[in-house]
Amino acid sequence: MKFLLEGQADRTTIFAELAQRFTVRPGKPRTIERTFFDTFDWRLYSAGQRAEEAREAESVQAEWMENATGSVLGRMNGPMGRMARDWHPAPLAEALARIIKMRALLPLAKITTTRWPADLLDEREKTVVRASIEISTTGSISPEAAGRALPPAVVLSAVRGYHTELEKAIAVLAGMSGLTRVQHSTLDQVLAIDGRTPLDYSSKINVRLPHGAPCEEAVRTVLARLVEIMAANHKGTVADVDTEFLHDFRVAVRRTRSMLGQMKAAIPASILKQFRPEFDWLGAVTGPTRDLDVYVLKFDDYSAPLNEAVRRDLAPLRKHILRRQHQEQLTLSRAISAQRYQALIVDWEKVLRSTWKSGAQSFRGDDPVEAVVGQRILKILKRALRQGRALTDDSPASAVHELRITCKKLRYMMEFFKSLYPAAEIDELTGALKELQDNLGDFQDYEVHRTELYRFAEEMAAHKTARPRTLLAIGQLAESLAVRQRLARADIGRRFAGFAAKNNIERFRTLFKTAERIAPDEGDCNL
Amino acid sequence: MKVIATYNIKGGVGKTAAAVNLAWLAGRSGLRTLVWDLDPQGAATFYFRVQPKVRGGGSKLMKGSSRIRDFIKGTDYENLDLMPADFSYRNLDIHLDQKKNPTKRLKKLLAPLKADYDLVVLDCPPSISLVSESVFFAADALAVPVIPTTLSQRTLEQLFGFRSERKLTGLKLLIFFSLVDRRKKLHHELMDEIAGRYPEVMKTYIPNASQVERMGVFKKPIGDFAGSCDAAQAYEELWAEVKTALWR
Repeated sequence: MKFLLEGQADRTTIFAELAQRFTVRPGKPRTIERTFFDTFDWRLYSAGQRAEEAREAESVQAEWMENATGSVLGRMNGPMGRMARDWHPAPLAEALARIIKMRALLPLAKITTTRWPADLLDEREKTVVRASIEISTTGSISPEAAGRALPPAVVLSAVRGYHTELEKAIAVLAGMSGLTRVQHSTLDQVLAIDGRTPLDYSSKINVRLPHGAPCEEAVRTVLARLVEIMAANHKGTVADVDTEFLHDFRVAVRRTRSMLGQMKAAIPASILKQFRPEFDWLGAVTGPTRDLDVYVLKFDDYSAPLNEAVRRDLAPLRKHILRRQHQEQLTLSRAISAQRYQALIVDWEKVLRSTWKSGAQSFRGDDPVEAVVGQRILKILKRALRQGRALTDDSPASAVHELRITCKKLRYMMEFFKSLYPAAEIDELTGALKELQDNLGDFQDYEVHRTELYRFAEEMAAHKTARPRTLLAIGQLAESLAVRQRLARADIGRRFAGFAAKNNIERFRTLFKTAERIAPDEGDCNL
Repeated sequence: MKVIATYNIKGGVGKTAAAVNLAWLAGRSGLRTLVWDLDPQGAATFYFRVQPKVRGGGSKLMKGSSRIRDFIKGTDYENLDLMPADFSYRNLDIHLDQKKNPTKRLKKLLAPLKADYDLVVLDCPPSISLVSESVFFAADALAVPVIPTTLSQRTLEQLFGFRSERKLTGLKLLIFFSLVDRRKKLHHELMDEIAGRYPEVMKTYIPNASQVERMGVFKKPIGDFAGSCDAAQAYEELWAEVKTALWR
């Protein structure tokens, strides 16, 4: 609970007023350098939390707290743990990891606070409320926002189980002139001064497309949003801040490639000719690092079913994967820092700014977007159904992979043009598709990662970095992944049946079927 | 969430001092910690200056009609909360006896706190009763303070016997010597003998020190008012051993 001090109210009068209801035990004033942290995608802020590093004379503490109340959820001695795993003790790291997962905590803003604390005690001399008067000056990350004074504030913090006493303290302050109760946190104030808006990043497409817009315009709008996501994640990907910068960057690249492939009827051939190879290249240079990132992220989960001795024997494998990941990351960083990437983005943004025209008869860029999109989505759906229905127990992994790719294209199309359709209906269809995709994704990950183990084992044997027991442990890991893969495979039929259920397909048909013209070579879906 | 109970069939062996000091050290190390004072005497509650009162008493709590969360009080320390004692806890056995599966009751009551705490320290009343049985089922480990006397051996035998009789094989027994008078030859001899017999005996022992008694004067854990004294150091070493045993 926070009050801003204005006018006549000062420390002495505030503590004197509180002393009428409580025993006030003032503490020593402290000056603290505070740095606020959150993940790039605001995972703490979204959960109503924040992280803070507090430096004071010789000591430094990292705190994880509720944003509105300042109530501490976890604290450790030492500087801010960048990743959840850097926090201690282990249960604190696990609790924080449930919120931020694999993302790094990055500095958001700085502030210097002088704090005059006081404990408010009951008749047993038990602390029932914590009060402090705070004067803060910004020392923000951006130099232009540094050195600005925040209004002095009185902060009351609840002690668990003593809410009645907190209410009494609030009533005392509310009755004083010169104090105004406010809801926003210090972090919100500092961000406002710094010109930052919380939750200003999302990897979602989040564009509103006007109904009936020319198809080429809708396509350009979505592609512009995708290049924006690439740009937002470029720096973090090059610097390898955490795995999710590359994840979001790569997804934006893949979505771009998918759009260029699926909506080529609305894109002039010259543009496709110039940019498709370039985005294919970008997809190729980002692939190896991401594959290894996924391996590292899943390593503990993969090795969990094995016994402790085997897990120990796998340590050199983890080290090998990390070394490979580091090498690939360097290659990736160089590639996307080079002229080719910079030129691609500059040229692409330029192309996206102007209306696309084409003299080609097949060009549908001027058609209403819904007509082209609906037809395309139903066509991909038809392909997915054909591929899914053709699967048997003996089908090779490549057939499952093809279905997975088709489903991914379908999902992307639904996400690109989501705003054109009723949210509840498209969300429901996406949910049904996602169920299937998760299963197909697991199957494919096991397939790729199991196969890669043999490559890693060969590399390690060649470099003499694996003793026989490590190679045996890799064999056990491969078998364990094969078991999981079989389980995932056994579930595909059920999930596909759920997705391909008559009523679900009917909903697709209703939502995306269009009365607009259909190119004679493409035909209707007959679903 | 790990649950540890300070327990001994005998009273006056330093259970509450151990519960309070271990919990304080756990909280200070960053673990979100709850002390549940199950002893109707309410000594742990007294050390934290909290009123020994639970609305509706032990009866309502055991029935499950009151939510345990509603009675928890923050102490003066970060990461350290207290479930206070209530004088009605003297009848806890009776209240438990009226329940189905009374020995599993405490575990059930603690289950909703899993997301809130990393460690729960149960400060138990002495004797073997339905309450202590319930504690044994709820706890991952018992921290057992033992005064080095000949009678203590008998107490430990009873405890080990009870554990195997109830088939509580997963329950760790973390035995440590308490109220040790370092000047007494007999104490040293008995400590050697008991430690030789029970591998569960921890390295650290708590000396008989006036600073531990002063906890009642200051109404604080020892580390908060005499952090550098021998007894406070001993609790720190004991906590290090307990932590390793709990999260091994």
